[in-house]
Amino acid sequence: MTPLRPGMRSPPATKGPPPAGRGPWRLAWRRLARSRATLAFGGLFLAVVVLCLLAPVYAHDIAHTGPNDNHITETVKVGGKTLEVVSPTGVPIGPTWHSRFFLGADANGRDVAVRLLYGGRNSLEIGAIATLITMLLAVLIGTSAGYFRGVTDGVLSRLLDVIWAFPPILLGVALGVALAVGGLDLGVVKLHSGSLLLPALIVGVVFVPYVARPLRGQVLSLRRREFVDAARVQGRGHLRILAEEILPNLTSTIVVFIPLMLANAILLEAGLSYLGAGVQDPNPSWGTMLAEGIRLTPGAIHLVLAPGLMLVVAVLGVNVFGDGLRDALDPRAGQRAIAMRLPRPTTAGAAVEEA
Amino acid sequence: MSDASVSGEAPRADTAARAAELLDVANLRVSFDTEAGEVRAVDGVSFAVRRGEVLALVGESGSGKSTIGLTLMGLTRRLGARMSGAVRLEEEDLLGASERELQALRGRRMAMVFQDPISSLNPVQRVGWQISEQIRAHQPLVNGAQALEQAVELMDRAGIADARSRVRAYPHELSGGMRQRVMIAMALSCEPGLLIADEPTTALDVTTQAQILAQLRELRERTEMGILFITHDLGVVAELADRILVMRGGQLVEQGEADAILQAPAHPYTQSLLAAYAPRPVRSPRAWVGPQSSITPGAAGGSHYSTGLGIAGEAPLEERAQLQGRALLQARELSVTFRGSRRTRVQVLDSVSLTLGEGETLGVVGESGAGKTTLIRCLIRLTDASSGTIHFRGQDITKAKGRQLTPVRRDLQMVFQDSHASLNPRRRVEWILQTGLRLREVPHAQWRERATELLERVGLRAEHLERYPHELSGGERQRVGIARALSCDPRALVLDEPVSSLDATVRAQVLDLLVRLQEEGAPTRPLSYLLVSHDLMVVRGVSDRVAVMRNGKVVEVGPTEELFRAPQHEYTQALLAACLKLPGQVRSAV
Repeated sequence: MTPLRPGMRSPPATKGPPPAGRGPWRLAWRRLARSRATLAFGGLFLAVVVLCLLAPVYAHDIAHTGPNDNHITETVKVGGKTLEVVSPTGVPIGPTWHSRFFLGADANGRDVAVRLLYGGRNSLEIGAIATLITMLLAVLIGTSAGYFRGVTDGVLSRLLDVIWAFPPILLGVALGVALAVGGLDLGVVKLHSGSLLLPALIVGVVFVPYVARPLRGQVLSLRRREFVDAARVQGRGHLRILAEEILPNLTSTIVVFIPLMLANAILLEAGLSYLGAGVQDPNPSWGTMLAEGIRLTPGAIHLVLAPGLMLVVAVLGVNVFGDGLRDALDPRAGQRAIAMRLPRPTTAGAAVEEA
Repeated sequence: MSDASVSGEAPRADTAARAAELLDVANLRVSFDTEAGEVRAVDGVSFAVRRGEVLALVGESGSGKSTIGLTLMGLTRRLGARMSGAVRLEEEDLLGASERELQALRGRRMAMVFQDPISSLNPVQRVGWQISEQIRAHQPLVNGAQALEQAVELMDRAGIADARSRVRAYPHELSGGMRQRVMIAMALSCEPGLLIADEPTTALDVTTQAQILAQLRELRERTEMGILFITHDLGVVAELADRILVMRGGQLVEQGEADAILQAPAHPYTQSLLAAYAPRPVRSPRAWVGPQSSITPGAAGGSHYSTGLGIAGEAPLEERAQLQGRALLQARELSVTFRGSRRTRVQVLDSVSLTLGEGETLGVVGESGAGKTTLIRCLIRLTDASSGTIHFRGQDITKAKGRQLTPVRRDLQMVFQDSHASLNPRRRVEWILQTGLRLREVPHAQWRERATELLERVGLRAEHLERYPHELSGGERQRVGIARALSCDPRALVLDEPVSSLDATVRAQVLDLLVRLQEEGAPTRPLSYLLVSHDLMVVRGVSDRVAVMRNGKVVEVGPTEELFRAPQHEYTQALLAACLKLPGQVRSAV
């Protein structure tokens, strides 16, 4: 026998133990920070959000007009010429690139830029609330169905199947039209038909199965893991195990879903509003602005381009950011999104443009 | 198949030794790029495999031994490995070969058998078809019927009885050992010169392992095949290997003839490996363990033990090892039936009666499928028993639910087999240890202090509190698992294969820890262990008594020493016989 290199017993230096406390979140953050595209698109979306939140400032201090202020009979001076805001043939003025009517006016003589920002505020608000509703319901339904199985799972899963059986747009329109007439009256909660919460609720509910299903599947496999048995052996109750052992393992999935659902919610809201089943006049939203603008195309193309581009930028930003976030949090989940049958934002967007 | 004539070259004037060399690996380096930078898995390894020899590549996990096997087969390329050095299989340059050239070599000139036969076989195709497909892939002239005929022959050669009918079986219809034989048959299909076997018996039971090893030995003698046998188990090595390579941290530590290394290892690392593998002395009966009286049928409570224990005419198997008052956990005629497919019922546990005394260690051994895990899940009330009773400190807990179980939960803790799966990956060690403290209503201010104490008891340090499970090694994780179980200050630990996923040296350390904890706990409050393992050697060193299980029944129970010295049941005898031993460790050492 020949002892080889007795002096080289120590393993290679690269195998040293990692510094303590490098948790999953810190690792994910490092991966995220390295992905420039993800951060850039995240920043883009953030810029849209900030702009929209500053809508009142813009309206008050720059444009000096509100989103619903009618200037149909007025004139503006552009480059020394005096132009009517809305011509006698009904064609509104295009972008002036001045503080007033920066992006032109609509058929009612309202400032498009101001409406764009206020509309964005509504769209983003609805998107955010809808996402919140989706996530809350989905986590509740998904975890209890997956953890308790049996009858609970049967009932909850069939409920999800019912929602899932309809295409999101169709279900959204059906609910929107039904509720737009009388509003929602649940005794405790009353939503009148013009409320922004109504489209948010509709959009939120429609997307629940898309999140609840994967969560349920994940819980089904998590509950069989030995650390759950270990918790049971310690005598911890079901709710504790759900909250303390299962939920922390779902957070990365939940975090990944938030931007993706936000993008989908914004798009669905735009689609519904475009079809008149979402935000009701005179409240602006990107969807309603598109619907109004399309009637005047091609004469006043800016009425379609402005909300359309904003929609594309916002959705693209949040979507690419969401994809990057997913890669950072769960590098192996790339294929899972496809398996979940998420409606791809591109096709949903195309549907809006075609409609 | 023979040597230089295959390549068409005239035999060169090299020495005979050169011609005998089948595989020649020179200064092989394999590294991977990871987030933590470049990791050198194999770092300058040189060795040769000769025709007709078994070369064992020994090392603990992470030593790079499997990487070598995969690299030889060209399977690390797709993983983005960077390789340098030279690897020659006869005259072929394996590192320089294109993927297409490798494809032709794989299966025909070199073949591999993996650890896990269930994931290496296609579950939806009949095994015969899978073997004949392999034959036809490399021999285009063979037609389907001929290939199937060859498959039968190969399976027969690989030791599968009744091969003609088994060719039609699906993988799930075969046992683990049979599946591994199918893998071997497949590997042999084109009569490769080199067989790379990566832990081929690790997933198998000891009796099956002995059969597979015998089969490989016979193959080596019959063919001129060279076998590179990758394993962590020195017992397997002693059984089979002609020469041994010892690896550590990607480097060769020692190489030489098997007998020489096993009997007089030169390198300290090899010595420590061997020392860790050496059987632990049988535990001497301890003072506070109840008298090991032999069974007196008809004595008080005797009727509980004397019925339904399988073998008629034999003495009741469960001994009244403890006085009645000292029994901590008692199972009487415990049965568990699961509903199988199509209204069949699978009896997993069949009238098992066992008693765990205060402060005692009861070992439970058996092969996979014996019902060991079901038994302990039942005892710890994770699974419901179909019939029979469980008493804990005299209290019937067979049907206890919810709050009734709380005191039992505190006193009866479990350590799991897979330390990776049993620790929540999203929680720090500190949090994991505190779950038990919360249960005991320890004031919050003391949690951190207590958690540190627990860590120190199991041989870890306060700095480990901040770590996540993935930042710990396997041994450290298992220590955390033990600390978590101890955090409730239990009277008994149920240990489900606590060391089976650990390397030999770490395994020895963890077993030492378990023994030490029991001895430390003894003066104040005795700590009992119910230790379940498939490994007789593990059970032997730490148990006061041993129960042998087979097919859901306990076939033999007895004091460790007695059971190992004079096993009564034929199955126990077979188990002991299949146990591999290093040279020099003859039966008398037991």
